[in-house]
Amino acid sequence: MAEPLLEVKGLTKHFTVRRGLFGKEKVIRAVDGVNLTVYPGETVGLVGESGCGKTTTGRCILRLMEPTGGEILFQGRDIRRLKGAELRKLRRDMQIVFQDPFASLNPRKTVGQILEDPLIVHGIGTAAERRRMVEEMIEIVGIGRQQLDRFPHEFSGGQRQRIGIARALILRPKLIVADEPVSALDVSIQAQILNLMQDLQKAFSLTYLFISHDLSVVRHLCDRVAVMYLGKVVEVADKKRLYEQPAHPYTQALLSAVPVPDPNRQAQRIILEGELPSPADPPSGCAFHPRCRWCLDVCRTSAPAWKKCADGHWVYCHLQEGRQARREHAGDRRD
Amino acid sequence: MLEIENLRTSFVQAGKKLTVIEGVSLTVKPGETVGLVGESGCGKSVTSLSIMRLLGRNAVIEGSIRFQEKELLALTEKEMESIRGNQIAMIFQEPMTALNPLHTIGKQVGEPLRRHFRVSRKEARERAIQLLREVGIPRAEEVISDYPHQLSGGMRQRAMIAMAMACRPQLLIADEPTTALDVTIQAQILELMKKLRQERGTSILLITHDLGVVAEMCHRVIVMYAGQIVEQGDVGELFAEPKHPYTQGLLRSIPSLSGDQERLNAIPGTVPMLAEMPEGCRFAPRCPHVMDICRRQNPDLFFLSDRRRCRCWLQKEEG
Repeated sequence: MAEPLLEVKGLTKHFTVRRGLFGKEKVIRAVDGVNLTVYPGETVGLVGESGCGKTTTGRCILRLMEPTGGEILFQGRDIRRLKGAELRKLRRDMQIVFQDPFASLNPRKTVGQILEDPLIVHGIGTAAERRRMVEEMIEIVGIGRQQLDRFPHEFSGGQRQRIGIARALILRPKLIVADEPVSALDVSIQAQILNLMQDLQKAFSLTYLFISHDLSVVRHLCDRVAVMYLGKVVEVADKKRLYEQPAHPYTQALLSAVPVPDPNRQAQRIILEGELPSPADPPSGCAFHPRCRWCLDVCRTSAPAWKKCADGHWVYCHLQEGRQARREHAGDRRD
Repeated sequence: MLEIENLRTSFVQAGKKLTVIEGVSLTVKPGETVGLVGESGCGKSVTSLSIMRLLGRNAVIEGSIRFQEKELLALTEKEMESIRGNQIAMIFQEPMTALNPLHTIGKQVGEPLRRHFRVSRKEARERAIQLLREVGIPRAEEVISDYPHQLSGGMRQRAMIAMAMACRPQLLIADEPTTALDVTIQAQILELMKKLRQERGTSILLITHDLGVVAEMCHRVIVMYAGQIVEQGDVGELFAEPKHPYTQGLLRSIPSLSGDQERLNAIPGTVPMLAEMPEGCRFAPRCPHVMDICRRQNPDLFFLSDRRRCRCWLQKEEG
């Protein structure tokens, strides 16, 4: 396989909060040792429920937030060490599309200005050249160039998301981190934006890190999927493998919880008891153990290791170790 | 149980009257769960607020809303109050804004009982604890002294359901009850609603944009587009064979959890603005099968069978 475009190793982001003036300091482990590899041209989905740390992971990768620890290698270079001009150069290669197209576009600037700003910041082209690039880009995302002098509020949610995508794309980045880009949109509009993202990926050979809570959307768009729970990636696999043979009990429950628009399908649902624990006070051992239906004694006391179940399929679970041990044992007997 | 006929809700703004809902008729039978689906701005929430008469003063509600043979639109505000939270209860999308942040959970869950049944404070408290237990809230006797912000989203939604169920309503109107929740918590809440429905035979009008939730919960479904009903029928039939091009488009634009489509079939364009409703069929500008007549004249909600209706000229041709 090709060299990874992005490699995240042991990424952590901790926030310190203090309750009251003299209260004790508490550490919130929003991201707690994330490993993730993204290859050029692919779409990797990062899924999980609110508070699992997926957005924080995305922000750290772009250095919109300073990570607490770990390495982030982009084309082999540790971006945590970059400063000034070098960091700025890197930012041309990595762009973000935000969830809320209402909050992420400056209401006082015209769409033309919004799209031109990144070009100015990076000192690209003359005014005339920039105008041409902006006109070209707005049409690529499906909005007429005569609309460039309008303000964001004059556009619908779907169109604003197109503008957000155009802004991310105008610097011709290699990697786009898309943080819930379609969550605020109605399904019929959501489908338009997903199709647009697929077209753009082909046209500009883009790599996407697609952050989402919507498992159907992720299945549709992504090649590989990473599932997060309480600050950690608990399972990674090819899309097909993950959806058809999920190995982690959390992934299994998550997939079974999605309501499917087919009244004939009897839901074989795994209902998770309880709620997400606080990242300020994560459970001992495996963080998922209080809600896991297969919980063993070892899960309460020690954290599982990152185990391989198949090529490209990795899981963070003691059960897998058990399964592997059994397999090896069976293999021994056969010998 | 609930019979709405020709409901038309408009808002008067700056001397202009904007009609948001145009000629909605629907029924909910005892024990039945009816789904009201559509995308933002289709009028599904305004329909539910019209039933409860919870709209502002600038709202004009016309038509007829009968609940157990009583005309709700003819009731005085006081009479309406005796029905709200008692015979018809409502749960909302965002429990944080729907619950009062200044009162404890116990007080809010017990309030409908105090109001409608004049029970003592002590009894209301005991019933509140019991109700919170029934909706699966752990440590109910402690939680009744908590304020809404101390609970998680899922727990707040449970508390709101407990409050809605306090007076054993015959009809529950649930407006996007799980939209703000994560899928695993949504699964818990849907399970709870099914359990309560089974135990008490409550009818539910479920308003949602999520066709997955409808498929799982509802017996019948009503699809709204731009303030009008465009299609209705039994859930099985409607999902298996959607008749209206909008319903077809909606179902096709959802990515599937099991299949592998190369591309999604998006519906082109956007929902028309209120002030710029097309003269003919409201879906005509986005419809792949649009004909001349569609641009001139809005079709009626034609009967396809006694339980199936569709607002489309194509169906008129066929029927």
